[in-house]
Amino acid sequence: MTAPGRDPLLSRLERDSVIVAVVLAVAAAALWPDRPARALGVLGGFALIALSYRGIRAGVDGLWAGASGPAGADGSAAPVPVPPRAGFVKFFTRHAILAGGAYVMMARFEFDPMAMLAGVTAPAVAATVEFVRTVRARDGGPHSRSS
Amino acid sequence: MLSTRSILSAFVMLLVAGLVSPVYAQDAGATNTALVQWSIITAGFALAIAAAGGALGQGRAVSSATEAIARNPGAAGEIRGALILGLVLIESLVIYVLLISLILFFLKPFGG
Repeated sequence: MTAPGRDPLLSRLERDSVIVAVVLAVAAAALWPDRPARALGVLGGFALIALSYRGIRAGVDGLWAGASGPAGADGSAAPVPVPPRAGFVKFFTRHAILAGGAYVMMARFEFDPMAMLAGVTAPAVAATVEFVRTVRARDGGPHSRSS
Repeated sequence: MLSTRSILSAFVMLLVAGLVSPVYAQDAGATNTALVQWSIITAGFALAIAAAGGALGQGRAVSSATEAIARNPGAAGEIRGALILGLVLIESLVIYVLLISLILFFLKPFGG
């Protein structure tokens, strides 16, 4: 079994999400150089979804640590570096943290709301990229249709 | 049976009707106040519905994942990755609604 925290699927999704968010922020900065709130909004929205991801992952890892018992006792479970209690605190308080963070970004820092929505979309875009990558790999590569 | 063209025409007419409806308003201030009130009420309901739907979806995802792990413990790693991905995608939809509700609550795009 793959050790928690080293899942290749999640690693690829994290990397692709960061790339998508950076590309969107750079595009916003290039298209509207006089409005930095748009590029910052993209990064702010991505920070929100990243915070949510960290909370969910910590909660699932905490659940994993509780469910799998002692590390490697059955030969299939690996130790989880996240303390379960901290993971559950992050998991159950993430919506309050998100609401507070979104309020501060939007109402106090005046980030662009639409750009924040675009930033939140980054993991969905990354998941789509991963889906396309999986389908193309299953079909035998990018040139399989032409051959 | 409705054709695609008639559905599209009805949708365009609905959009046009939504755009021109303020023309018929007699008192712009009162209409604006009512619009602000309704937008806030709508934001509250939207957030409640999104939270409920997201919670139901995440509950089903976790339930199915734990059941799948119980059936096939060897696939637990792959199930864990898919579970986290699914939870994050569900969560992103809830965050969309949260942001839109915050826009309606604090930025007040319809005035007020």
